Amino acid sequence: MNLKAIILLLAISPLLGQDRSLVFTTGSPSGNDGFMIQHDGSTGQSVSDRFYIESDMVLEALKIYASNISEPANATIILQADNNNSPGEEIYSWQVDISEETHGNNYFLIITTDLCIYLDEDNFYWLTIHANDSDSQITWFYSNNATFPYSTSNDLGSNWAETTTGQCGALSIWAEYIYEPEIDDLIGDINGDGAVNILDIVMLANAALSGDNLPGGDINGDGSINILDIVGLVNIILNGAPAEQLSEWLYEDINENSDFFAQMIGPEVFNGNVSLYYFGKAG
Amino acid sequence: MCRHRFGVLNDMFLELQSEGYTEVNISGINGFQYIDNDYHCMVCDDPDGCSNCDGIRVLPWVQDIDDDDGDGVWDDEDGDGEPDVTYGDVWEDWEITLRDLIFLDREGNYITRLNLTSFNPDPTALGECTGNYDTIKDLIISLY
Repeated sequence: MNLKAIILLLAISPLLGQDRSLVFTTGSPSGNDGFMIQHDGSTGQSVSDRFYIESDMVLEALKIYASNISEPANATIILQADNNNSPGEEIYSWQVDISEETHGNNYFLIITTDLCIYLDEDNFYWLTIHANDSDSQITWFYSNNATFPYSTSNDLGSNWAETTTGQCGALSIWAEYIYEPEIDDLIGDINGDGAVNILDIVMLANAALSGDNLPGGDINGDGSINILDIVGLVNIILNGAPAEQLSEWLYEDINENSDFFAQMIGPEVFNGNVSLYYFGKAG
Repeated sequence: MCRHRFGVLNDMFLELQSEGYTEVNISGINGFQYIDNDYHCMVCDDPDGCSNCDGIRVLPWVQDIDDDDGDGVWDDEDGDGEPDVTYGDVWEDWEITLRDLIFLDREGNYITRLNLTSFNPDPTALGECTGNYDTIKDLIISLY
């Protein structure tokens, strides 16, 4: 490993070593066989891997297992949206001379943390490699397993072959989850209008009479919707919804720089304030 | 340098305080399974001696213990004279996963939780684009 590679690894180690979310990986390739990425202006091959994103995320890094055949080996790496199970609209692209980026390894990295590339939940995306000119040839190494969807194009992505499951181009993708608070639905808000009132009672009563399964209607949690749930809902409207309380505890604060040092603290101590509790690992 | 999640929460706490949100408490609870780990770099009481922090942290830090019977002595069900290797009481009762952050409102009612392993709250560099820091802070303010 040469000096540039070591420097690169040191630079990216904070990114890849701290619980980054690996959202897609084929694993590293076992051999030197792969797709030949090239294009002479009329014929050649581009390849695109399909991957799935389950939650809203921000792209952090791409690790693409490829190497140059020619030197230079100018390529365009394209992140694309899905279009009916084919690579679709371009989201972002990078111009890379792979002969410069691999530093003697069988992969290169693209760090995207500063780009704010958003990936939407429950969507497929594609990662494509094109050769930029007739002199550039690249090997995108095959994944070990033949279980990944990919497609190929002979015209720089104007048309794509039918998506195939097999050995795709080996690839790993990291991304960061975007937090969206999930606060429990309001108990008794049967019609989902954000309030608990007589309209919810009417809806619940109709479900109890008809025997329909009404989401959120089993107020007392006994597995059925009946008059007892209507009584429970009336009580909620009259007295307010029951709040969930976690068990109490008291432990001594051992941080000398805290205002509570050497005092016993716990949820009850902080009643009257908004309180948060982080469960960590010392060391 | 990696910004430790507890350090990010410490910064958020200080920021909230400076903005007038003084009735907010954030505390850290060490897992019983990590009771033998040195906590000094978690509270960063000696920044020069810790690689993962650069400033003293003021948030309370407590140690969870395993004392199911509440007698003030660590449980030793196998009788080997050592604390049982298990989870602490709060981690069990609150069904905690490492790096969970639990929110309670002013009445002590449970509001929600998130896991900071998945949702990086760091507002600099690595987590900047997610907006997670601001989302968490906004949630605190909405409960205020």
